[in-house]
Amino acid sequence: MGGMFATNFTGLDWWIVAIYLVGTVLVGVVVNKYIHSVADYMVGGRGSGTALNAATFIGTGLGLVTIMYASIEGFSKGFSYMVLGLVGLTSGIVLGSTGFVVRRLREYALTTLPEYFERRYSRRVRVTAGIICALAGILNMGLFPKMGATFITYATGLGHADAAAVAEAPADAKAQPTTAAQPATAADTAKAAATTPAAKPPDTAAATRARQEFMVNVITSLLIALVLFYTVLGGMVSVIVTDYVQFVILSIGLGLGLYFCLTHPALGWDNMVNMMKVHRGEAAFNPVHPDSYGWLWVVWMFLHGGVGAVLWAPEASRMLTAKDPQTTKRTFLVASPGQFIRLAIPCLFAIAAFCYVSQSGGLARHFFPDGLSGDAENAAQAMPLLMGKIVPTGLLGLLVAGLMAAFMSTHDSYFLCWSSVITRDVVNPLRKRELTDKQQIRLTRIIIICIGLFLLVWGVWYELPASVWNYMAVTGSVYFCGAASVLIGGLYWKRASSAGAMAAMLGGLISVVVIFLPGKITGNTMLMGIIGLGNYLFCAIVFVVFSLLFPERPKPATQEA
Amino acid sequence: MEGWITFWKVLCTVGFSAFYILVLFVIPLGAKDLIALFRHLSRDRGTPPEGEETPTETPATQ
Repeated sequence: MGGMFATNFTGLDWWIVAIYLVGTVLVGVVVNKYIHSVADYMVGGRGSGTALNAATFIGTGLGLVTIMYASIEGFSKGFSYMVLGLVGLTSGIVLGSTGFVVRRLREYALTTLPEYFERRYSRRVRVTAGIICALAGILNMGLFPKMGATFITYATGLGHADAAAVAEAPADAKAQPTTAAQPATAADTAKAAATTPAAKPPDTAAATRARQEFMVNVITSLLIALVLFYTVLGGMVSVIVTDYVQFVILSIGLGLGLYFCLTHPALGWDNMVNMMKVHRGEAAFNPVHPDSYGWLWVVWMFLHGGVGAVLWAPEASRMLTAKDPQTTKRTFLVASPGQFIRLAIPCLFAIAAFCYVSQSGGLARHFFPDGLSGDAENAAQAMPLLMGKIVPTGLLGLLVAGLMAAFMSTHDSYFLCWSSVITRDVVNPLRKRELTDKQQIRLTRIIIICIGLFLLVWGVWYELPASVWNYMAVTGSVYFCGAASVLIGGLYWKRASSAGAMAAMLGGLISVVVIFLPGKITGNTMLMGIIGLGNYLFCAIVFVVFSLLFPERPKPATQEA
Repeated sequence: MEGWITFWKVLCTVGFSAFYILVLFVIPLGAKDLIALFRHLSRDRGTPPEGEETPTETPATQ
C-alpha cells in the first residue's frame, strides 16, 4: 500500500542534498568580509554584470513556491496555464528591448524602489509605499514554507504513509507506475474512480502521517534557519553568489526533470497531450476558453505580469544591482526565456503527473475522486510525487537539491528586500537623525530574523488555502495596483502629485479584503479578473483625479541626483 | 484545439531551447562577472568597513 507514494529517494540523495546545503552556509561566511557599506549589503555594491544579473534574476523568480503553484495549476488546467509563462516572456522582451521604466529607475542609483517615491513625490509617499510594499511582500511569502514542505514530503517519499488513506484496488498492483506502468485504459480508470469509495485511514497511519508532517515542518524550519544565516551575514553579496550557484543547479535539475518526463515510456509529449485532450478537453489548451481561465483573467495576468516585473521588489532589485542602466535593460532581455520556463517547465511536469496518475486507478482516485474530468484534489502532491518516481536515485538527489536551491534563492532575496524596504523606507525616513551604515545593516539583520520567525509561525503551521496562485496574485495586487500608477505617472506624467500618489497607494489596499473572501469567490477566475482589473483602474482614476485636484510642482530629478 | 496544441508545442520548443542556450552562455559569463564583482567590492576596501560609523548614503549622494 505504501508503494503508491514511495519514491526513488535514498540515503545517497540525502547526502547530495546535505553537501549542497553545507556549501551554501559556507558562502554566507566567506562573503561577509566583502560587506563594507549599505550599498554592498543591500544592492551588492551595484557591481553585477549582465550574465550574473540575469542568472540571479532568474534564480530569484524561479522559487520552489513558483514551481509548486505552477504545477498545482498545470495539473488541472493543463497547457492553458502556460499563458503565464508567455506573459513573463513578453514582458521581459518588451522591457528589455525598450528599457521602459527599468532604465530610468537604474539611472537614479536607488537602493530600494520606494526611494524613488520620495525623490519624485514626498517622504510621506515613500513611507506609505514602503509599508504597503513590505506588507504585500511578507503576506505573499506566507505560503512559501508550506509549499516547500509539501514538495519535500512527496519527492522524498516521506509522504508514503498517506497511501493508507487511499483505497487501492487489487488490479492497481499491476498498474503501479513505479513498476513502469501497465497503463489502465482511460475508461477503466474513470470507471474505477467513479465507483470505488476511498477507505478511511487506520489510526496508526494517521499517527505516522502526523509524525511525518511534523518532521517535514522541522526540515522546512531548518532550511529557513539556513537561509536566514547566510542572508543575515552576507546580505545581497551572498544572495547574488548563492543565487548564481542555485541557478546552475536549478537549470541542471529542471533539465533532468524535463528529460525524464519527455522520455519515460508512459509519458512523452504525445501521451501527455492525448491524456489532456481526452480527459480535460479544449479547456486544457485554450486559456480563454470559458471552462479555463477566460479573457478577463488572462488580460489581468498580462497587466499584473508586466507591472510585477518592475515593481516586485525581490526581482526588481536586480534593476538596482546592475552596474549601469544598459546592463539593467539587457538583464531583462537576456532573462526573458527564464521568465517563460520558470512557469512552463513546472506546468509541463504537472501535465506529465496528470498523464501518469491517469494510468493508475489508485492514484487517479486519490487525485480525482470524481473522475479525471472532475476537480483535482491534493494537486500539490502530484508533481513532487511524479519526480520521486520517474527520476532515478542519485539524479533525484540532484533534482531535489536544485529545487531546494529554488526554495532558498527566493527566500534569501525576499528576506533581504522586505527588510531593506522596512529599514530604508519606513524606519529611516521617520527618524529625525538618519541611521548610520552600521545601524542600518544591524536593523536590517534584525528585521530579516523577525520575518523569518513570522514565516516559521505563519508559513509552517498555517493551512494552505485552496487556490495558491490566486492568493499570490492578490497579495501582489495590494502593492501593484497603486504603485503602478504612481511609478509610471511619476516617470512619464509631469502633473502627477503627492496627493494623487497617496490616494492611489491607499486605493491598492482594497485588495487586502479579497484575501479573506471565501474560496468560491477567489477560485472564480472570471470574478478575480474583474476584481483585479477593477482595482488597477480604480487606482489609476484616483491617481489622476487627485493629481489634478491637488497639484504640485514636481521636483526636477536633475537637481536631486 | 489542434491550433492551440501546435502553438504550445512550438512555444515550448523555442522557449526551452532559448533558455538552455542562454544557460550555456550565462554560466561561464556569470562566473566571470562574479569574479569581477568581488574585485569591485575589494576595491572599496579603502572605505571604512561595516563595523565603523559612517554617514549614511543619502539619495542625493548616490
